[in-house]
Amino acid sequence: MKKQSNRPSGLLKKATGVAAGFILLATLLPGTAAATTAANAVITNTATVNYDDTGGNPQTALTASVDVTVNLVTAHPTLSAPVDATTSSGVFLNYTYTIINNSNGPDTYNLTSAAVLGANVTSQTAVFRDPSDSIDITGVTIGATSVAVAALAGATVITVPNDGVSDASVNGIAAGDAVFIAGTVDVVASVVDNATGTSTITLTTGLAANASVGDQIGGLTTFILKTTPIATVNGSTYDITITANDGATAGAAPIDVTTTTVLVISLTVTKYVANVTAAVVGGTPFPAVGTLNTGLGAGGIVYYATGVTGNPGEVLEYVIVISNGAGAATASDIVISDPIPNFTSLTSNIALDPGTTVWSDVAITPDNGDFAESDGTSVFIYAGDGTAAGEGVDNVGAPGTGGRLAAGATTIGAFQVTITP
Amino acid sequence: MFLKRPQYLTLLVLVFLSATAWAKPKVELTMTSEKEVVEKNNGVETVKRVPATDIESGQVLIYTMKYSNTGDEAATNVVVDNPIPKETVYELDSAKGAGSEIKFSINGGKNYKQPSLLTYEIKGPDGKPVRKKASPEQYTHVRWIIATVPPGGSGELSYRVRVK
Repeated sequence: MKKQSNRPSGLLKKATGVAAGFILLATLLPGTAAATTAANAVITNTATVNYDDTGGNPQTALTASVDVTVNLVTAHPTLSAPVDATTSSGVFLNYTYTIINNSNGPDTYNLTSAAVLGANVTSQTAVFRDPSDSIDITGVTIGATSVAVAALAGATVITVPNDGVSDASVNGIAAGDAVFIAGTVDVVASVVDNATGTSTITLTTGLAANASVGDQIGGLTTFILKTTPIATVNGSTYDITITANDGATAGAAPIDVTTTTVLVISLTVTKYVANVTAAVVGGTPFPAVGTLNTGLGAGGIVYYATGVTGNPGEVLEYVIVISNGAGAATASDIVISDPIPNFTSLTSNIALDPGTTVWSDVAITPDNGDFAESDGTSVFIYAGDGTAAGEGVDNVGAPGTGGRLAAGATTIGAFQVTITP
Repeated sequence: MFLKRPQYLTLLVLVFLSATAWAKPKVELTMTSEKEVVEKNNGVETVKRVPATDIESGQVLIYTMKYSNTGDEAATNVVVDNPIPKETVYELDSAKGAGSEIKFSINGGKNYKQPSLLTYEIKGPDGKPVRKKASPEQYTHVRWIIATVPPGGSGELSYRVRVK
C-alpha cells in the first residue's frame, strides 16, 4: 500500500479471513454513512381534508395521495489498503481487499489494475478473484439501504424501506451479507419484507451505536487481487494500482497501490576436498577459519577448493556446501547430484549437516528413504533445512524428491573416496 | 284545480325546506408532486417544474393540493392536514395557501401552531426546563385552515420538502 484516495488515512492490516478483515475495518473507518433515503423507497404523501356544511355539520373526510420513488444516488466506495507484501518469483500472492458501498442502493464497482514494473521484474500477471479465490471477477455488486426507523445501540432489528420486490433481500442485502452500520461491521441474519412498505433486517450482533433515520447501511464484501511476478534479481519490486469505479459517480474513484517485493532463489553450490591420508594445503580453505569434523574420519580437517593432490591408495574427503542467499526466495526440491570422480571409488557413508553443526551419518544404500544415497556412480544429497514436512528425521532434505532451503540456510554433505591404487 | 292560499304557502315552505335539505358542500382534493429541473437552452439555464414520480436523495419535492367545492353549499371550517413524509424534511417558509391559515405540528399532529409559537422543552444544564423554538426539521405535519369555500370555489395549497 503506497497511496490512496477517497478514504480515511490508515492501514488495513492484511487479513486472511473475512471476519478478521471486518474487525480490522471497523477500526479503520469513521462513521462515513451520511443520512440518505434508500433507493427504491416509496415516499407516500397523504393529505386529509375535513370540513363542515354551513350549519356546522361535519362532512365525510376525504384524502388525496401521491407516491414518489427514490432513485439510486451513486457514491464512490470505501476501499481498504492491504499491507505491502513479498512473494517469490513465479509464486502467486493474494492481496485481500475490503470494499464498502456508500451509495443509497445496490451499486456495481468495476475493478481495474495497472502495474508498473521495477528493474529486474520481467513480468507480472494480476487478476481479481472472488473472496473464496474460486473464480476470476471483473467487478463486485454490493447492496445498500438506509435506516427507516431509528434504532438504539444494541438493537438487532432494523427497519428499512422496502425495495418494491417481494423476496428475502432488500436493495441487494440478504442473509449472510456483511454490512457497515452505525460505525461498525455487522452481519445480516435475515431479511423479511413487511406489509407496511418496509423490510426488516435482523443483525447477528447488536448495533454498536444508535442508528438514526436515514443512516446509510452499506453492504461490504471482499475480493482478492492475485498477482504472480517473474523477476531475475532478489528484492526487485513492482507496483499495482487498482481502481474501483462504478462509472456513474463524479470525481476520482478510489485507488490503492500495493508494492510487492519479489524474492529470487540464490543457490550456490561449492565443492571442497581434503587429502585425509596425507594433508595437502591448497587454495581457498573451508572452513575459512578453524576445522571441520564430518564424523567420517578423524576430524579437524581443512578442505580446499583448489590445489589438493593425492597418491593412488590415498583417501580424499569431499564436502559439498549448498547455500541459499540471505533474503532470497526459498528453494525447493533441491537434489545435489555429484558423480564419483574417475579413478576413485566411494569408500564411506555420506555425512550430512543441515546447518546445525550436528552431523548425520547416512548409509549410501540407494532408494531406502535416506536423505542421501549413492547408486555407485554418483552421490545424491537431498539438501534441506528441515523445515518442510518429511524433513524431520535427519533434519535435512526430503528423501527422493529433494529438500528445501530457506533464505540463508546451508546444507553440507561429505563423503570419502579412495584413489584407485 | 287551484290551491287555496294556506295550501300554496305550505307547498312553498316545503319546496324551500327540501331545497335547503338537499344542498350540500362537496369538497374535492387532488395532490400532485413535482420537482425542479434545470434546462439549458442556448446557454441559458432555466428552472422548470416537472411531475415527479421519482426523486433523488437531497432533491426537493413540491407538493401541491388543489381543492374545490363542487357542491351547492359553502364548505366551512375546511381543514387540510398533511403529514410530512418521514423520508423528507420541510423547507422553511415554503407552505403556501391563499386565504388559508397555515399551522404546523411537531408532535405527530396532536397540536398545531404557527411557526413562531412552535416550541418544545428540554432540560437545561442546571436541570431547569429550557424552552426552544422548533426547527423545520422537527415539523411533522402541515395544516391549512380555510374558513369558507363557497360553491364553485377552489384554491391551491403547496409546500416543499427536501428528501433525506
